[in-house]
Amino acid sequence: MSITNKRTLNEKGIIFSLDAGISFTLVLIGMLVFAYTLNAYAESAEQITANFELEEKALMIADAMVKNSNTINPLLGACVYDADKKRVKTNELSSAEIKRANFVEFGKIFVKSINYETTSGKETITLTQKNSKNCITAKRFVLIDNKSGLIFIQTCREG
Amino acid sequence: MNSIDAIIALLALIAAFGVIIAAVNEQKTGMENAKDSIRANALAEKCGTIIDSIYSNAAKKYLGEIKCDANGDNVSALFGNREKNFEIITTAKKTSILEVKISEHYK
Repeated sequence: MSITNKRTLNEKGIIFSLDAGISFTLVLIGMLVFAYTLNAYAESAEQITANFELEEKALMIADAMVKNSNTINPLLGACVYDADKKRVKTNELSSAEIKRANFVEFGKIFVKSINYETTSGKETITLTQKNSKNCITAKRFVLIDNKSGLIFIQTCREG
Repeated sequence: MNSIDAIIALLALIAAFGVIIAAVNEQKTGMENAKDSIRANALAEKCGTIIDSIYSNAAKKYLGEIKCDANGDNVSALFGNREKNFEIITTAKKTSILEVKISEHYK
């Protein structure tokens, strides 16, 4: 084999190796991008489920409060009990019961405050001063001490 | 010399393929675990929501199927080899039937 042919073969080899190297680098970069995209999707799914949990708790606690009577913790039921009819009067709350509401945590979710406003005025009951993030306020139309009004229950995630 | 170069290049090529196949397999396992995790989480959230709703609405009974365990103030759901928990606002127990502690509406 002549010197010229050998050099050409070496040059071809170098070009082939460079091509192969670049191709593999591109494939690996592609895979890295794919892995990052998957990771972003997984994080987004996690965020969605965490938000769902907060929304679910906010709505369920608000519903529980305006539909039940819970003598231990009125946060989960502050309705008036009608002794004559022997039944709980849904959507009819008592301000005394609302003020008795205790702080409760459900995992990292908790009720931070309860606000209500009727024709008599506004009232805020702060259940905790804990640091929070992503708060959701559920609003319900109710009768409080026989006066129509709105109750706002603020549910937050620990943060 | 050229043959040795070719063999080394081939070995490098095979090694690179090996790395790629291993990475793809790792991603597949990770994806399957993540899928199981998400499904277990969704199942736990579904069960927890049903139980919370039973409490909130003072429901007498629930006739649907519940595919998770409930013991005390949290429910757990298993999917594949992943288990997820969900805190509930009341207490519940799942044996052959689902028992949810509710506030009595009529007393």
